[in-house]
Amino acid sequence: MSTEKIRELVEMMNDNDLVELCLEEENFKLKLKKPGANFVAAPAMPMQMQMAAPMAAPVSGAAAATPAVEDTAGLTPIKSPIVGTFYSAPSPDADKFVNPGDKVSKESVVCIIEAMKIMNEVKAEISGTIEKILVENGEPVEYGQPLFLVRE
Amino acid sequence: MLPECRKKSMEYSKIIWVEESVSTNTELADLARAGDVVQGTVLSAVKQTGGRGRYDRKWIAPAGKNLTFSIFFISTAGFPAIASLPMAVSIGVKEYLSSIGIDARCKWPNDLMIGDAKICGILSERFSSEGAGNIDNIILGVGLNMNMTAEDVVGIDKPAVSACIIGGKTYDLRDELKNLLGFITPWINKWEQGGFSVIRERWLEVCWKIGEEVMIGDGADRCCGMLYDFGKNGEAIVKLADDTLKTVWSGDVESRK
Repeated sequence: MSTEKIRELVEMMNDNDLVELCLEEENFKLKLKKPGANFVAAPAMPMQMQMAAPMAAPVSGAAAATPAVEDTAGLTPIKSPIVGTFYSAPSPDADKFVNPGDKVSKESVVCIIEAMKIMNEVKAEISGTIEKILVENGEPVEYGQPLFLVRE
Repeated sequence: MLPECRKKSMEYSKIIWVEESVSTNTELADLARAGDVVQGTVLSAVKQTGGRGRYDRKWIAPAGKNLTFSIFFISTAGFPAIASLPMAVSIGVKEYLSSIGIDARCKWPNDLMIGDAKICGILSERFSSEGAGNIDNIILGVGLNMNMTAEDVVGIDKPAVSACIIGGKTYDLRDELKNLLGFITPWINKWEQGGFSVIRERWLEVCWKIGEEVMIGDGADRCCGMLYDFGKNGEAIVKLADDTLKTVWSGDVESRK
C-alpha cells in the first residue's frame, strides 16, 4: 500500500473522528490507531500534529500487522498453559465453549489446546465475564499466550 | 495425594464391552467425570459410529472389524511430560503387532503405519476433575484396524491397511484386545518410571521416517525438513534446509512427495 493511500486513510479517520482503523486484505493487514485513543478524554490535537503522530508504520506485506495497545484495563487474561493448537469448540460442528459475554467460573472449560494429539481441556481458573477471545480456532499458541480477556 | 484407585503399576482392571458407541473416548470420559470408573478401566465398542480423528476425521469402525477402545489413566505428570504417554501406547501396539507377525512403525506422535498406510490411530484427552488439583484424567483412545478387508478400506480418505489384509486371517477381537493390553500396559508402566527418557531408545528404533525428509506441523506452522530427533518430552525436532532446528509440538508427519 502506498504512503499516499495511508495518508488518505488517516484523513478519513480525522474527518470521521475515528480513533482506530483496521484494514485487512489478502496478504496485507494494516492497523491505525491514534495515540491516547484508549482514553475517552483524549485532548483534540491540531490536524498537523495528528498527521505527524507516530501511527502504525506503513509497511506492506503480511508483516504489516502492528502491535497496538488494547484497552485491557480491568481485564484479566486467561493464558495458554501449554504450547499447541487452540480449539474453541469440542468439535467443528459443536458450539464454542465460551463466547464474549458468557459468565465463567474457575472450573469452566474455555477451550482445548491440542499438543501431540492430546486434547487438553483448559479451565478459566478465574471467575468473571468473557470480554474478548484473542485467538482464532485452529491457531497455534505458545505457552503463556493470552487466549481470552475476562472482566472479574 | 493420588486417589485410592491409583495403583503403583497400571494394569487394565476391567474391560467394558459395549455393542455400539458414538465415541469410546467420550463415553469413558463421561464415566470418569462421574467418578464411575477406576484407573485401568477399558471401554471397547463392537461398533463405533462417530469416533474422532483430528480435524474431526471420522474413524470408521463397522461391527467386528476393528478394535476401538479407550483406556482410563490418572496422572500427576502434567504437561509437557504427559505429551509422550501416547507414544508409549504406540510402542505397545507396535510390539503387539510384531507378536502376530506384522511389522508396523510408529508415526509421531500417535499413529502406526505399514509403509504409507495407516493401521492404527491414537487420540487422547486430558481433563481434571473439579477440585482435583494437579491430578489429570487421561483417556487414551486407540483404533486398530484388525479385520477390515481390502474392500473395506477403499472408503477411507487416506491409505489404510489392517492386520487381516497383511496377515491373511481374521481375528477374535475379544481375545486380541486382551493380548494387546498385555503389550500396552508394560509400556505405560515403563513411561511412568521416567517419561519419554525411558521409552526414547525404543521409540527411535521404531519411529516412522526418522532421518528422512518429511512435511510436519500444523496449518500455517507446517514446514518441510528432516525428522531429526525428539526432545525430552517427545516433541519432534526437525532440521530445516538451512540446518536450523525447529521444535514441533502439534500436527502430523507426512511423507514428502
